[in-house]
Amino acid sequence: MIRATVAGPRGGGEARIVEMQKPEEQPAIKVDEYSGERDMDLFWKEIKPLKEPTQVRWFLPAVLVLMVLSVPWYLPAGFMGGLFGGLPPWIWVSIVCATLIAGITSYVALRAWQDDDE
Amino acid sequence: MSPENLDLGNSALVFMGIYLVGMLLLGWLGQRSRKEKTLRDFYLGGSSFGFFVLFLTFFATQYSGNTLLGFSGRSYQQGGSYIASVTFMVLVITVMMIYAPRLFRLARRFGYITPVDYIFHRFGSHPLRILSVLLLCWGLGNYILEQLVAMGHAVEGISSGKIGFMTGVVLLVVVMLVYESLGGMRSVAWTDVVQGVLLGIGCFAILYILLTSKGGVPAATAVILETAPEKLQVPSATGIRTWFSNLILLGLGVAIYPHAIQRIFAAASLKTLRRSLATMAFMPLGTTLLAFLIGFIALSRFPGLGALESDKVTILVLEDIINQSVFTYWLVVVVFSAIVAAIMSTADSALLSIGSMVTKDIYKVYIRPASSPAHLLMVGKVVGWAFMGLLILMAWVSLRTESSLWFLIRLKLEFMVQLSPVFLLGVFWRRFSARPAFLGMLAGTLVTLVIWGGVMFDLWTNRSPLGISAGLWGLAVNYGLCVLGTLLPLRDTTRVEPSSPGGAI
Repeated sequence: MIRATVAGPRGGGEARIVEMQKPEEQPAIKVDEYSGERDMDLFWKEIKPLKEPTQVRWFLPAVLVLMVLSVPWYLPAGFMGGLFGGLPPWIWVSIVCATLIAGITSYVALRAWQDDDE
Repeated sequence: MSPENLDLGNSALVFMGIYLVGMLLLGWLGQRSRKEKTLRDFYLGGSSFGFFVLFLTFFATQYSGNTLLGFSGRSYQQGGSYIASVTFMVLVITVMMIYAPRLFRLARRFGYITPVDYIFHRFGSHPLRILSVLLLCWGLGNYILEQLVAMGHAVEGISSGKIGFMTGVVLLVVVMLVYESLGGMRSVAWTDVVQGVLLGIGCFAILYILLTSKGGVPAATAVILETAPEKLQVPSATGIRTWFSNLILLGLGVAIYPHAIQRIFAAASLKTLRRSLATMAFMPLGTTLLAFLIGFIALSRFPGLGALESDKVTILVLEDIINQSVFTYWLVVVVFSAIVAAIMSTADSALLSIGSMVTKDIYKVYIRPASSPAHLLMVGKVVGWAFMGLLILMAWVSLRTESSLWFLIRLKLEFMVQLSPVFLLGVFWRRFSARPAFLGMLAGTLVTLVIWGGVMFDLWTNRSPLGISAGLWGLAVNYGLCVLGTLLPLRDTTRVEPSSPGGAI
């Protein structure tokens, strides 16, 4: 809260000291049930969290690369390869890529997503 | 091999009976815990879910009859290349990381109850809203149908064929409708907690048994090498394109399931939501990978099954291990209950989501705007009961037409995925307006419909030209129109002023 001096009315009257909220202390907008209003300036002002995963530059490129590598396009059709634990290597590569994508996703969820109402 | 050979006995039926009564009790408790008669309280549990409930409701809803029956069946049919299912289920959470942070923030501030609240707020277009509701209800309706079909198989299995497919469907639907009508999202989420725990135990149990009995995966592979070696080989160029097509179709489509989006809205806090999604990212490495292995092992033990029969491979694999000991008997009973739990937890969430959209986004807006929350809740319940009646009939039709679960999954996702641009582009690109969004969604839907329709009317035979799903061809047209329609300087007549009733497309 801040204290400010407000001039008295013209023609007389004393100045008075009032307490006001700082702009950043004003409560965030919170509506219980959306009912059709569309203030788009407010919409775009409110949309961005403090921090979000898409701001991590390597997030989407890394996921795309792993997604592409999970598919054995680089091997000839009909190729099997030696078996490990009963499965051919191209299946293991896919599982490893999926695990890495899961790890990256989990990491950005926990570390790269923050907002001001926590 | 058939479910009639699976002799689970009366103990299993008693266990299932106790489980179903438990669900009804939770429904009653959910009703008693309702704080107020509002849409938010009924459809989002008052946005009060902490980590434990939120994570388990995400988990139980995401993994359904599709996973434990349909995916196993598909793995059986397709072989090794269906390992793609693990990647696409992880990608679902990854795609959520793109739009969910902004959507969650908007939902908190502006009070969204359904995903269509966001769509109307963002674009202000009534035609877009209506088309979105239609596509989402189509998708969810199909999704529930998949669960009903899976329910029929599961109940036939657990009762050793004593309870028929349709009787099982009707019985479980009635239980589900009762507890959902009583307590809404609270009951659904609390039953999800029980169902999620059963599912987790069940999946872990099956994985353990499969890996340690009858030589596990290596023994299965040795047989497949002799009988169907092509299932262990890298697919052809068409198969590779289909692989990429499925990654994109399912990654994008499943990420915008309306009932999953509503769970984002139902989180008590950002911290809870973050932790739930971070944990969900790893779940496919347990459940989906398990489904893949079940189908793979079934290939070695039960060769020669057709598309519809292969949806039963999980039941056949369980039948194979049940009589090993008392321990495996009860494990199989738990697993069956887990399958039924997975199915019910998904079906009830999808049904609740349909109820919320039909009441809030259609009935309240276009039919009776002055409705009270109590009236809307009643309408939602009536819609739910009527819809389920229709879907029970469709379950019977799908049985008669021998439609496999994977067929139904595709039928759902290829249309629902057409909503992807309004989320993924909509939350980032201010310039992207209602007209290109609507035209893109409509064009994408029509392209998909034409390709599917052509197969139905025997004009052509392939629902996936060049190995790429019809829905993805539609989505390419969709995104193309969204982007070009935004970048090109066309006059946009779709902006709706805040106080006006709605714009024209």
